[in-house]
Amino acid sequence: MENFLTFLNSDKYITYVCSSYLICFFGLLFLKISSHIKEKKAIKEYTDIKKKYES
Amino acid sequence: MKAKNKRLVLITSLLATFFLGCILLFLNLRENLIYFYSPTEINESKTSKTEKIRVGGMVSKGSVKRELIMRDNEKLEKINFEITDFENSVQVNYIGILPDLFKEEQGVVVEGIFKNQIFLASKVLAKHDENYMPPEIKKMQLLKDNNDGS
Amino acid sequence: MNFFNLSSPNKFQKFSKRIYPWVSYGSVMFLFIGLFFSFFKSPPDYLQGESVRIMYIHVPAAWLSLQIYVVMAICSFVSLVYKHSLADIISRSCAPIGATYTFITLITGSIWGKPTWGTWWVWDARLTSELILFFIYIGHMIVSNSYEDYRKGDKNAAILTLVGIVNLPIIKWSVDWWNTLHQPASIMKLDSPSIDSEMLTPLFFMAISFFLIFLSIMLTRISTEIIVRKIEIIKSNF
Repeated sequence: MENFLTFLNSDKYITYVCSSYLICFFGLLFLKISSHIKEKKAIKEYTDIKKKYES
Repeated sequence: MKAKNKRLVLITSLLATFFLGCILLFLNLRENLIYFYSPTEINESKTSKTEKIRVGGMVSKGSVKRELIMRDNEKLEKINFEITDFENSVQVNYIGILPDLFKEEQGVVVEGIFKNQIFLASKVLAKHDENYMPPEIKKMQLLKDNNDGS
Repeated sequence: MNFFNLSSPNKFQKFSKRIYPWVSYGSVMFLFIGLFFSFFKSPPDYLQGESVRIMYIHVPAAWLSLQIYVVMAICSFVSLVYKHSLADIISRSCAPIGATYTFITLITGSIWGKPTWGTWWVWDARLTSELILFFIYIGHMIVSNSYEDYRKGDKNAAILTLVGIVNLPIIKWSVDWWNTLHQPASIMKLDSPSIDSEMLTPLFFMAISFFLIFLSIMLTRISTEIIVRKIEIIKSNF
């Protein structure tokens, strides 16, 4: 806790540290979400195409 | 031979040749990829002394001298210090803002040109070493070193 | 569970569905443990001060950027020699993740460099070779998607990956071979690590978390790619 408080008071470094953590997590989150969207789309296309060719 | 084994031999030998070539090329180019020179290399004049070069080493203890000068109605700080690799050293002159980590007995890399045996730096970069530790432990280490020394 | 069966895409799909939740929740759990240690437990560095906290994401991301490339290189070799479709699929799924981790490495390193070195970027051997790695990942993504026939894309991307391995030892040992502004390795060296244990713990948890995040995204992308290929097969059969 003490370390965290000294970190919060270090006004000079806090922007550097926070921006790098934010860029990192938004980058990974974006990749994760876009991968899931792609998977959903592929599953939908697969079920559609299966129906189309089976009938 | 099966097609699969043929491909295995072909690809492995192609890769081996390619990497051997790369290693040879690399050994020849190695010298050109140096980011900075040490004061000893400067002394042995491995480099031309008129071009813009980079020199790296430790800031000698007690060598940093700061003075304020006026230029274009602006107050600027002029810093004099010595870079050493514990064999040879280079005198450096720099006008501008130093990085926070610039300290005596810490690594720096300076970029600039030589003029009359003095290195006029246009850029000073602090070099960090591979040691990471909390301040208290560093203090304890320093104390221990001092005790051992005396 | 027979692991040799995993090479069949359908069996892999089933296996991946089963482990996916564990990997996903595990990655989030370790991420929070890692964040807790890096912000609450870790002291500032004696020299860098608070910006040492950037290292806890920079170093694991850098490790993964190299590890993912090793995975891709092995898969490319297997795909070229044995024409195994799963190897191509893994390689294709890994490239964007590797590119993201390399990007994170470059950006966080740059943000760390500003307060520490006094510059955002220098063209020293370590930084330049890591940037080349980023371009190889991007190149892999472009090459593997730029052919009408995906098999052709896979093949050319695999060749590109194998050629690009040259860059890996350069990244790893650039700090020892040349005078670089970047500091030499602290953990992956023969004698004991030169990082204090209080700073090693967050690094360790973050590394596990980043690895699990990589696995979970890879599993999603692999299953997507398997479905896409099934669609291609159905289309070509009619």
